[in-house]
Amino acid sequence: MLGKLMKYDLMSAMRSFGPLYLVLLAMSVVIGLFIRFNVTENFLMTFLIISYGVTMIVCWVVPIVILTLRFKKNLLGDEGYLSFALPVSTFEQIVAKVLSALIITVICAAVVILSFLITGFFAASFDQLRIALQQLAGIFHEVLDVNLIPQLLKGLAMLILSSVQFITQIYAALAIGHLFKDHETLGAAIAFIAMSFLLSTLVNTLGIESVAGSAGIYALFTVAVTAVFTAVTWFILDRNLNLG
Amino acid sequence: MSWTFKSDQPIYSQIVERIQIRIVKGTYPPGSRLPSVRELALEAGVNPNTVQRAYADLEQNGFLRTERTNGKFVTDDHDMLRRLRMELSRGYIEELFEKMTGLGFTRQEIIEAIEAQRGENE
Amino acid sequence: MNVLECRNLTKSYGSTKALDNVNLTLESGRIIGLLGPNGSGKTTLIKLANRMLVPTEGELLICGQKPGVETKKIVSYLPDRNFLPEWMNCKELIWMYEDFYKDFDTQRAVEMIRSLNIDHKMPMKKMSKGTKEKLQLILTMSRRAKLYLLDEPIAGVDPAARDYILHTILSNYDEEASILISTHLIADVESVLDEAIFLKEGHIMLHDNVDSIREKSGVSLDEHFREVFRCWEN
Repeated sequence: MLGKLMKYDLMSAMRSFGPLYLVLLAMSVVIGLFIRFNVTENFLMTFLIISYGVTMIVCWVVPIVILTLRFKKNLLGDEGYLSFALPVSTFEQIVAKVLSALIITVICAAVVILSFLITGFFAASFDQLRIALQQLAGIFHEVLDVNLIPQLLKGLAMLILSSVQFITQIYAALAIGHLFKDHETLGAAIAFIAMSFLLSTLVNTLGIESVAGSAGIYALFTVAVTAVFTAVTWFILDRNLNLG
Repeated sequence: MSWTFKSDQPIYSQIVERIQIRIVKGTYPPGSRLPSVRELALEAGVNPNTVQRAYADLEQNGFLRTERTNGKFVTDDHDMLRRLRMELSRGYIEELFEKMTGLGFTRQEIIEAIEAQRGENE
Repeated sequence: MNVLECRNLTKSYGSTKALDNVNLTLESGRIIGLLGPNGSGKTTLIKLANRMLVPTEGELLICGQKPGVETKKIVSYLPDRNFLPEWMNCKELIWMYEDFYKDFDTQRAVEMIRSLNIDHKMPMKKMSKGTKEKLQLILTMSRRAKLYLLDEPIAGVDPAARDYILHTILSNYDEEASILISTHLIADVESVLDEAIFLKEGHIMLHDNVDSIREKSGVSLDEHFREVFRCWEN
């Protein structure tokens, strides 16, 4: 059932936001050609600056918009009358939403990387491409030499954990907003800000830091926070649901 | 599409009457098979349980019989069918008398009125 | 077997009681009208049966079980609004119902949809309001459920659509199942009902066979309903 829930969730998200990705990919071609014929010196620099901006916007904003809208519409809107009539537990509904949000984030990231590659391909002359590839190969060798792979994997795991924490925080905020009839969005926004404030206070007082050494403790903390957010969401959707 | 019903009588008894009329008219000839409960329910736009009840009522009074697997059949007992015909006509006449009496007609006046109207119609 | 049972069921929203100490037993093989004016608690009762609300006090059982994953497998629910994803077309909706409901009869759904003459690739959002309502009913009635909960299926439709809807309900009804139809348009559903429940301000005023109500009161269900509720207002 979990897989089926995710299937329809992803289908719906792709239906509404898929075209956006196509636009992005088309734009990368244009940007690439633009760079190629207008900017001759310091190609890599210009490329990186533009890429950075686009990454930030697409990689963070779009998935957040998608997962927020999906949760609101599919569980708390009129479609909730379908979702909650399905023979699926509330917990499964929430897990499905978290996992499909994670997949959407990964897809977004993949599209962004793909668009960089496309831009690079169209922007660079043959020589520039060759040099860039050589540089990349060099970086790759260095990574292998210093054996950074475990570090990278750890970093990736932390990235996924904190993404999940962030996703569940949004869901918890939306669920709390649902309790304020007629002021759902305002309630959700206030709840989100309050939770963020609480979380940073907690991190400061407990002295937990992500970068320095104690990655294990930070991971544990993230899992605990995620569990609390999920529990809040579950409690509201399962015990206090009141679809308008 | 569906039948219309009088408001003050149980629906099942009105269905009974409709079926009786159809039997007398020959829409459902003696010995013939009646529509299934579901078919008739859809035609009438009523609940199948109501049709079931009407059939049971008709069967109890001997107008229908059940064949184990084939469904309900109109009786081929002609005495029975004649009696049904008389019963229906008696009902209508009673109703007529009731209404006319309500208008202040005497028995004699009612019969005269019927005769007079028959003359007019001919 | 009782398909639905309420024991001292109460649902409060703050200080107002939408349902107040309701006791109710529904058997299988019946078509039951849940009748009452707007705000009498009809939708609250149906939502409780779907576990979209949790009782404040008392309990509601479906085939002996509290509403949850197991009961949702045997309950087919038609809400009083457009509840299907607007981006989906007929084909995708059928896939979805097949995916989630083991009791979904695809053949039946396909046949009924064919009679609507709609393009299988047309998404819901391009369909007319009437077509959407019919499609929702078809999907709901194509399940071989034990209990159908239809919330205001004929509100705001024209007479032809009303006939279509009642015909669809009757032609898909099987003797093992029960259908609960909530409505405030009593005259329109009167002839299809076995039983009627009169609901007023969260209380059950009357629960009886429709034919016995007609026999006892000497008037139609609709007229009797008006009488009962007039008494209350005075």
